[in-house]
Amino acid sequence: MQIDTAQLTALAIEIAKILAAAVCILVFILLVVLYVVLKLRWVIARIQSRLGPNRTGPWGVLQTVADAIKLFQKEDIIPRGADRWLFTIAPAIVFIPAYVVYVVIPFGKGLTVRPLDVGVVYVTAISSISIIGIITAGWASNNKWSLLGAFRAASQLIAFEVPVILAMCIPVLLSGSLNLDVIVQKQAGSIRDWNLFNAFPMCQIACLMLLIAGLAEANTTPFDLMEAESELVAGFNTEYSGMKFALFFLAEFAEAFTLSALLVTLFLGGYNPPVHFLGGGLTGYWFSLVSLVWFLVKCWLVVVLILWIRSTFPRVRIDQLMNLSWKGLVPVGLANLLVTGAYVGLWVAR
Amino acid sequence: MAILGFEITGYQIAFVVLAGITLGSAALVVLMPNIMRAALFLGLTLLGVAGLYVLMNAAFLAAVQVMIYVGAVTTMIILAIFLSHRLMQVGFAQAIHNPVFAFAAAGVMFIFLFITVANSLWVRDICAPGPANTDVGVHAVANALLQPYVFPFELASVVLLVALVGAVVIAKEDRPGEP
Amino acid sequence: MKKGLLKDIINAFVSLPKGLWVTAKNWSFLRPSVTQLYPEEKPTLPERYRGMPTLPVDPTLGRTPCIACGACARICPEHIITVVPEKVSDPKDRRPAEFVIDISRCMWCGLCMEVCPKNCLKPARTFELACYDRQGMIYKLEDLMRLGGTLEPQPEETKESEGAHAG
Ligand code: SF4
Ligand code: SF4
Repeated sequence: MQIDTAQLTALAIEIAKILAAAVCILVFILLVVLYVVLKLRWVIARIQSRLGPNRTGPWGVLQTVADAIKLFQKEDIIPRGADRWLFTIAPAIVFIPAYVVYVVIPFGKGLTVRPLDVGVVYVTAISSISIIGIITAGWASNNKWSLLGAFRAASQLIAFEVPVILAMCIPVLLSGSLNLDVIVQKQAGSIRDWNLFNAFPMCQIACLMLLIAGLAEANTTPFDLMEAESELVAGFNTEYSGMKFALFFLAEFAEAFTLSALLVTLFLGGYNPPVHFLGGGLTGYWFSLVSLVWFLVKCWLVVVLILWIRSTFPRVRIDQLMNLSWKGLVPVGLANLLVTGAYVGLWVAR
Repeated sequence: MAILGFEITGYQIAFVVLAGITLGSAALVVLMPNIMRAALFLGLTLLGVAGLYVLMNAAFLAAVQVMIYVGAVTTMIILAIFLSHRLMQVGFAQAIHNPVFAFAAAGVMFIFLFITVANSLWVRDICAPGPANTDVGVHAVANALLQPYVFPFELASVVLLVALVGAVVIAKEDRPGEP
Repeated sequence: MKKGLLKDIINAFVSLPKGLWVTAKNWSFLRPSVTQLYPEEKPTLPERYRGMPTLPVDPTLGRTPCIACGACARICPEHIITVVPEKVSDPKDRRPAEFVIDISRCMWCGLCMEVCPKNCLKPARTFELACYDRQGMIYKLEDLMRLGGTLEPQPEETKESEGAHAG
């Protein structure tokens, strides 16, 4: 039994890199979720003429940290009659896809963990796994509210996955690549090169579609039918508490951030600065840093938009939701795809 | 790396692990008495197949496999389970009523698939040792689908369309006054 | 349905931004927050705030003008007022030896204050009654006098007119 040291070292370095990236992403997700939840509470409070959390730490910034610590201390309850195994792994099935999606998101120039060639398909494929987790959670809880929530989750998520894919096809067609990094690089330059301000009106329609369908996929308020607390107690996570509930919670807000990152990447120029002199001329590590900052700023704006929508609109009814997808977004998306395909094939390609 | 005199590459280890996951969970799909768990293991089986695609450098195919089979088909199967049983009845059970016939059917299917696979052109390329060096990119898949294989591709879409129309016809409620 | 669909779409593009505009207006500096930062910023109690019944001190007497008639104890639906009169020879100088209210069961109905012939049972202008022990909710005569503050001098006829209003 002989062991090639050089090979082993290379392997160890590779594994260490992967682990470091995984930990970085996990920490990033935790920080983002802590911030987004806090921001959500501030935004909703201000819209309702309140102040929101302002006691824990300076300006209340430690409020969500305190909530998280409280959540981790809670008793972990598995209801009698529940399917113990499925009940336990369901939060993981929901959280892991929401986590693994971050592998392809271009946070900045050269700051993608793995710039996969099939990035866009990868994102939709991986996030479609979480449906199974939600259904499993609803079924394993042995509770009718959970099961109804799971039913709704299945129909809603499948219905809105189609418009999401159709909307994401538009920038893919325009830039001719499924790689998110390449899509971002095609939008380099100034704000006029961003997809949102090109190819009128296909890109604008696609952007709006991705926003609407993405909100439904991420289960945020106008479309949070699967946990509609006024009808279903808490939907699929009724029976969950403690750490397992925290995982669902984390996944939900991580998905909301993924949505904003996708919107930024596909339509808002990704990590490119909006005007050239604000960092466009830099190179090397400096540009990586500046592009990371621009990416986060843009994501912050989209997140605030999502929170604004979330705290404004009331929840839709389940039949309205289904009609919106199958009778509204899907036909519009198909027509949009056809027009964009013709545009790219006949106009851009020439 | 060599273990017990055999030269073993990381590729082979990954293949064995993925194939093990695929076959093991496929066996569990059949053997699980609880049909809901069986459906979830089906999802794992399909994920394992996607992993094998990744090993073959067919990342696009793997992603599509996950999206369609794990994301959509497994969900549909679970929904079908929900809809065909009484809602809160936990003891979903599956039983093999006629093992001899089942084995015979599966065996015929296996032989048929094996002959098809062994005779197909691409097996010779894939069977070259180590991972294939050419990355089967999206462009290659697109060209293959729209040039040499355009007829089967369109035929498949027609079959799906027929299935869709059929589903709508079956699901359409009978209104009095309509034929 | 067909005609309604177009109307619905136009409606959506008009009404959804309208809704967002409404919330944006609240969100901006146009609508300051109405939150009272409670422990630092005490709420202003309304003039006729109905707090717990207390016995304010009459500055001329140096004590509560209560005559220990027991009317409040009798009318209290919860039977939580205990009045023990002091043994005095002069019937005009009756006063309570003990006056206990177990405020934990009070329902703030105000009947005791209404029935008091001397109009000396008054609502306290405080609401911070929380304590760590049930015993803390039992208020004795001196606590009630301390919490009540001073009794504003009031002519007899005011009381009559108040009674008329209340009736
Ligand atoms: S307010 Fe009502 S309940 Fe409270 S002490 Fe007076 S009479 Fe009794
Ligand atoms: S009714 Fe008034 S005067 Fe009579 S005992 Fe009660 S507080 Fe004293």
